[in-house]
Amino acid sequence: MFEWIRQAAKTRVHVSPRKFGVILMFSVLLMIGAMAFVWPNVKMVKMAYEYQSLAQQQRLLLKENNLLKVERESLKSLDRILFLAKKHTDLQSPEKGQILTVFLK
Amino acid sequence: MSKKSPTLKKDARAVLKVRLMTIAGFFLLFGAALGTRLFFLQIINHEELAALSKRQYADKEKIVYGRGNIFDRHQNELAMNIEVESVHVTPSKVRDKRHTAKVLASHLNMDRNKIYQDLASKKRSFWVKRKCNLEEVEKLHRLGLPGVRLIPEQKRVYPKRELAANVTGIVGIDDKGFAGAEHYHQSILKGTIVRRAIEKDARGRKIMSISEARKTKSKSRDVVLTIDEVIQFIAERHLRSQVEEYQADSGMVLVMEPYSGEIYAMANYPQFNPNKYQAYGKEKRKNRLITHSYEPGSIFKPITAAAALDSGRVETASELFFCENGKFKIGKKTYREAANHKFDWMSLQNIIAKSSNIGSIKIAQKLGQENFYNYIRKFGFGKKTGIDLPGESAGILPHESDWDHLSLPSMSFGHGINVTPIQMASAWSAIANGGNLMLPHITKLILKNGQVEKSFDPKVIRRVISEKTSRQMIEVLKSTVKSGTGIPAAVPGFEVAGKTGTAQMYNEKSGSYFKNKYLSSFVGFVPADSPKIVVLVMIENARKSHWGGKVAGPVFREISKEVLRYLNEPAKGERVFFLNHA
Repeated sequence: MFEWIRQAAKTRVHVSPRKFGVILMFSVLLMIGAMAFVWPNVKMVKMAYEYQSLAQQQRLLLKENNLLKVERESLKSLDRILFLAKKHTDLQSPEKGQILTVFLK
Repeated sequence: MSKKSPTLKKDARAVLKVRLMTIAGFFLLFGAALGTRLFFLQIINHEELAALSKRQYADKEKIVYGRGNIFDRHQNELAMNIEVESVHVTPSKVRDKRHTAKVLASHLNMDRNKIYQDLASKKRSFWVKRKCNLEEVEKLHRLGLPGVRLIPEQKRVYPKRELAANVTGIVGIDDKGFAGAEHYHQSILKGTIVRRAIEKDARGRKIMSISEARKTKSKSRDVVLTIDEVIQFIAERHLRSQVEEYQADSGMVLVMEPYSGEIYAMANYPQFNPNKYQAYGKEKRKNRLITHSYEPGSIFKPITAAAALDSGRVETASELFFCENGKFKIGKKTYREAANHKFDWMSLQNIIAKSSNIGSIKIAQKLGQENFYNYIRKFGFGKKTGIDLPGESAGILPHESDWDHLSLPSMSFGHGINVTPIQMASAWSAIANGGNLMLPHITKLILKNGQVEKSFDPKVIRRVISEKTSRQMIEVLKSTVKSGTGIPAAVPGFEVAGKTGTAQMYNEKSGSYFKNKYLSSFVGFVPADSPKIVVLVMIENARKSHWGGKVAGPVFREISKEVLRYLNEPAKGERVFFLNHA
């Protein structure tokens, strides 16, 4: 039943140094090819993680930027500016004779 | 070294062979088992496992593009969004429900029992609190409670608070516009949600997007209003100060550009803060300039006069009318002048300047019922103006066939007819701009990604009166401010055309007029001969005084003065220089 196994065990493969060199070279090329195939994928995944981290950072910055915009707009509120102008800097509305209008042609 | 016998060598080889065969047998069995397993995995259970695998690495990401912004005419933000988080719970994933309820209640300032009841219920998931503020969620982020998720959402923010709140309107918790421009432009402003496929790793971290969302920044569009933040502020400030000074119930101001129908300001007082709109009653949130109608009183008299002049029934403004010395009986009703004045013969110009009720009746009688009704309709009363805001009222104008013998005399001086302030301002714009009734509008532009997608140009509805009549009316209305009831509305350095109004307010419950509640008003435009703005002021139930000239006139004056200065309109006697750019 296991005759073919016995036969196979008895068989010896004779490889000449030249053939061995060719086989070795093909093996190395195969490995390089495999590496060349896998490497971009590994690189891509790595870059995708980097991109996601940057995208998250961008989201947070945009969120903060939006909050700052709201703050800026509420600081620009005319009610507040009028209050500050009158109370803190003692500004007053100009009288008729104090107004000078300049038009640029 | 000892030499092994050939028999021993043979035995050793035999043993090696058996061992090799055993190992080969194991490999064969292992290979067969592996093959069988692969057969089951790849062929028999392929679909099920492929789906399971897809679920593990593929997911969908929700990208929320918030509502579009609302800007004033100079693109200052009136309504914008910020990103906030909402607390969402899946009870089946919560380990310790009591503890979770306690923590959530303390951080979100909510009722602990209510949260626990929801957690213990059969609900699959529920919102604990929507759109929380930053402090509330900060600690929850750190705690990382199982079953509790913080979901990002957009929250509407009105950075200018009360400013133009009745115009911009409000949005509900689900970002749906409830009132004002938010409601009217819901389809334009509404935010969108885009779902895109993403790839995840074994730890659930997002690796990349499988389907890239379109590169557009935002799918929603922005709305630019015709409102000018500065003019709106000026109007609100002076209105508030006068309402408080005269202890009135409320007030309204409308500032309009007469040639284009663009509305610069719509001020209502009392105001409300749209960021906390729930704290205010529904009535306060209404824009009464368009939703409410009033008996206008004497500010309607110029409409009667303009109709009479335009129809040719009254040829000039100097035509005389007998004003019955203060008492005029029609049927059983006796009409009197305000403040018991007694006028005899007066020109049309003086009738308007001195605000004679009987004079207005005489003018309307000369005009005739049919003509009068037609002109009232042509001026846009009795139907909606078509302004781009929700909830506009058409006012009340009974059809001519339903008029009785008192309708014409009463309407001639603004009673027996209800008009909205926007209708009145539009009609006055027609007098100011040479006779064209313009479509009043509040929307200037629609923007998409900052670029103009649509612009709203001025639209003439119809010609109401001729240019000649318009010029005649401007002269008539100037005299009201120069020497008539409108003196307090005079703006130094400018000629003003305007008219005061003091109308007894109607009590709908009792069906009669209030004895001591008045609508004090002033409408006018300035500079009279080349109008830049039409300003309408209405103050309800002022307690210190009720005369339109005294209560509303100064508001008109102050607003006009500041707005004209803001619009670079120099006053007479003011120093003006023209400089070359170079």
